[in-house]
Amino acid sequence: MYQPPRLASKILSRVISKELYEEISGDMEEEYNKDIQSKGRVRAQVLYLIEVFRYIQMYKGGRKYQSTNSLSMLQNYIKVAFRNLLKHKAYSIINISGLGVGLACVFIIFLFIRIETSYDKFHENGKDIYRLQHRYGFINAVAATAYERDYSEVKKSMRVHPWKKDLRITLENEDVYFEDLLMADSNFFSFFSFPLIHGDVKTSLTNKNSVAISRSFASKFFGAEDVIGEVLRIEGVMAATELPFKVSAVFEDVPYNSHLQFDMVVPFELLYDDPAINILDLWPNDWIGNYVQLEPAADPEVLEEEYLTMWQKYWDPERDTVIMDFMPLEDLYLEGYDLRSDYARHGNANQVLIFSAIAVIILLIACINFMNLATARASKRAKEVGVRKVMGAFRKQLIIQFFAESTIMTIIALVLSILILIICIPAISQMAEIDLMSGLQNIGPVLLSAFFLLVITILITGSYPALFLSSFQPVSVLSGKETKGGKGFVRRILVVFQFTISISLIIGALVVYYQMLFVKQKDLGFEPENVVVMRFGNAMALQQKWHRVKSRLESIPGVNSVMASRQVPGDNAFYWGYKFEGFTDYEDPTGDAWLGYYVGYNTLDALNVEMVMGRTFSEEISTDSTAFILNESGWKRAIQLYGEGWENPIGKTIEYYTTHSGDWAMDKKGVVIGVAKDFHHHSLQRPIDPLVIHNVNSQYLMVKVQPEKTSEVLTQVQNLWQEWNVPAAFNYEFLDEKFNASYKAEDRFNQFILIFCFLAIGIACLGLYGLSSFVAEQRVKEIGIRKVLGASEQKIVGMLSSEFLKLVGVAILIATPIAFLLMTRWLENFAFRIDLSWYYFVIGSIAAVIIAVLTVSYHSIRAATSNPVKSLRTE
Amino acid sequence: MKGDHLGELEELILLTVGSLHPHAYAPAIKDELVEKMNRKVVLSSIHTVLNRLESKHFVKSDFGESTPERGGKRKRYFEITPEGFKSLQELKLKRDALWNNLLTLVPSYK
Repeated sequence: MYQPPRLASKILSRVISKELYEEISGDMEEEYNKDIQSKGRVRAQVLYLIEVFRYIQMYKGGRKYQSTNSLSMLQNYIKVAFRNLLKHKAYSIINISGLGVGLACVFIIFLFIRIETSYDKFHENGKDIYRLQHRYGFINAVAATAYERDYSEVKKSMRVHPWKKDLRITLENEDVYFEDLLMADSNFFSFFSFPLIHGDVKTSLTNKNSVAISRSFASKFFGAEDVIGEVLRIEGVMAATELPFKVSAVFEDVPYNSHLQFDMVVPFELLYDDPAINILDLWPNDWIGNYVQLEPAADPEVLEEEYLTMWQKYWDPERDTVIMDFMPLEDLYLEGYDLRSDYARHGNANQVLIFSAIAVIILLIACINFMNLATARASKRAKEVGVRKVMGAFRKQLIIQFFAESTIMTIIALVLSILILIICIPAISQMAEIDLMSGLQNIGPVLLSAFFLLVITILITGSYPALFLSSFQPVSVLSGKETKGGKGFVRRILVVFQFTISISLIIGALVVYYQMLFVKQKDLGFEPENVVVMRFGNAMALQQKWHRVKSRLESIPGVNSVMASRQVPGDNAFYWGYKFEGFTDYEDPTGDAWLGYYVGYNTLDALNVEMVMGRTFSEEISTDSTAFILNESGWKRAIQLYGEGWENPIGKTIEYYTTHSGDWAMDKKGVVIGVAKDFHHHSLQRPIDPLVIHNVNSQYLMVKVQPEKTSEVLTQVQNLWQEWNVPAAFNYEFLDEKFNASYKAEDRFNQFILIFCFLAIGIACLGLYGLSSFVAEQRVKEIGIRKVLGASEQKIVGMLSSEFLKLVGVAILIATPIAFLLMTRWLENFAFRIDLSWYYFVIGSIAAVIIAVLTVSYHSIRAATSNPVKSLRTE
Repeated sequence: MKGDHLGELEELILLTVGSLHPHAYAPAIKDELVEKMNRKVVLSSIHTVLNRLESKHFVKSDFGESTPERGGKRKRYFEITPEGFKSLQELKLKRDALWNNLLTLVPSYK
């Protein structure tokens, strides 16, 4: 006894009515068993299946006559759809171009979001990896190791030292490069999943003189890939000495979507050999990237709390609060953007959110256009629907017909959007400095989601017209009754909705634009123009050569002034401890502390920072090497914290505490010699911090030049670079560009918001234009009669326009509060922002009204000036 | 009227039902047709024809005992009715008349 195939039997039981089932299935089972014996199992199964299909054909009797017909009906639908497209060319163009541009925008935004959300998702254990962070993306050098040692939930730990920049690398053939370097614990390559091409995952960093390099560096240095055993000498890994390193591994180039970017890795262990660094065991000292991998079941929040326990145990029993945040590796890129300082790459979760919202809005507007136009056209199609129904079309068939039409439109729109994408993606990639094409990696899911996008679009755009048009009663349609009622209402709601979005977008675009302008025109408090910034190797080199360098540069014609500075505006300030006169304790750097800002002697003067009182550093006064200057915010904070004695800060002493000596200790003590007016020491997105300004002339060499002589000066400086044997490659930046770079990404993002807003508004206008033409057409007889009876053209234009203007009015009322709320939220991202005054809303509303009038008036005027005889004679 | 007319396959199956009496059910009919007439008919067609014949009251049916080789499902046995027999007979008589004509008119082929 063999059982016939299960699924087929099941289908059979569904298809055949109950009274017949027992007989037929029994007969078939008998047949099946016979077949197995005579023809073998496989053929028997096939025959059984074929038989089941026969029964399906037979007993789905009600369908039978339809199914023979459905293919030709489908052909008919497609034919009619194309005829309709060609007959109403303007309508088709509006609809298809709106939808096409919309789809293209959505796809571009989708690519962007896909790229932004793809960061750090490629690590095998990524789900369990967390980075330890608090205000910065880095903490001390002991946290991760202590966690691993003390808590069994912590499986592994790993540390990186990301600050080795621009190190001098010498090959055996004496080629010299200046490159960045990452120091990492020896389990680096097993902790993260950066694949090795050559070398061993476990042992590649165990030897202290080993270095792992990327594939592209291997070919850049040695012109080959398998370069294990090659030797390179690196200066500055340990103090300023040069050490030989042997290549122990070659890894695949780090993908763009990794928060950590590196091309060379050397063992972290080396730090323990460095006599200059004795702060590896200090808890209150933030400089090392710490990562842990937890057991899958472990609760990171519990471990966060435990940090205080460890702190008390190993460092300071008195301590009562510490901040510790376990940031999941996979969220690090998007969520960590508001850290005060970080070595990691960051995106912005808000950006992703805003872009997603814009994508939805654009798609929605395009779909609403489609629906509006389709229903507006309903009166024309009503007769067709009536005739089809009289000829025996079911409602289902009509729905299929209208879906077929919207499918064809959407597919044409899709082709259009693909064309747009092919043209635009390279340009946009360049503009956005994001390789959008890389979002196309693993094309499968992308295509799948594009397909879903298409299906969703078809469903949205097709549903309303399909359901609405197919619901007409043939009698009322064919007897000439207007199918009014609900449809006008729904259409009005859609128009209001669309205009609400458009007006919000206009207001939003205005605010974004003025905020951008405000940021650009804001007085920075210093003059960044015509200042060339050059990195002068390690800190000591510039201090030693400073006088020689300065006098030499000043002799070049075209050089206005020469500055040396540890930091330049735009850099992050340092947090250390400061003990102000009259106050017994230093401010803890892990708290909300004072920021130290390190500039050289004449930097403030040369950058034209104004002084509120006192003077700037002077090379003539020897005590000025340890003197301090406060900025205005710092001065105010000092008065607030340390009493009115600080009303006159000049001559008061400040003690400066660091861990440079290996423990918390006073680094230097000096007097305050002046108060500088607030200047923007970092990006305008952040408020100006209270600063203690130090005198440290190292690292950056800045030259203020006469603009017309810039290039000559630069060539001369480059020549001097070799003469001075500077331990860094000759690279220069202009201070204003360098400063602007800190919010360039933000700026670019805002530009894209503007572009997408305008596109959305444009698409909405297209829809309104199409809609107004249909309304005018629909009322052509009414207009004719009105004209015959003596209505003036202005009256008719007014009548036609006012209908839309009323809707726009309602939209303004809805849009204003929405825009107000959203823009208030958006502006909160900026420390220095414009006020959200009433005129943005008024201008936005007026713009909407003007756009509405312009788009509508063309058709109203044409309708009003047409000859009534033409429209009336036909009936 | 259409209802009384017997198609070729209908006639054949009706005949088989009669000749298998009282053990006529679909698979048996199918086998019989193969054996006697060398004609392959699929099960579903036989069912359709049987149902049609039943609606014309030329056959009647009844369920038999359940048998294990059919997964416990009962057979439906068909039986020719007097009306069925009558219409078969009528058809045969008409055919015979035609045969006779043929034989008398073209005797040479005999």
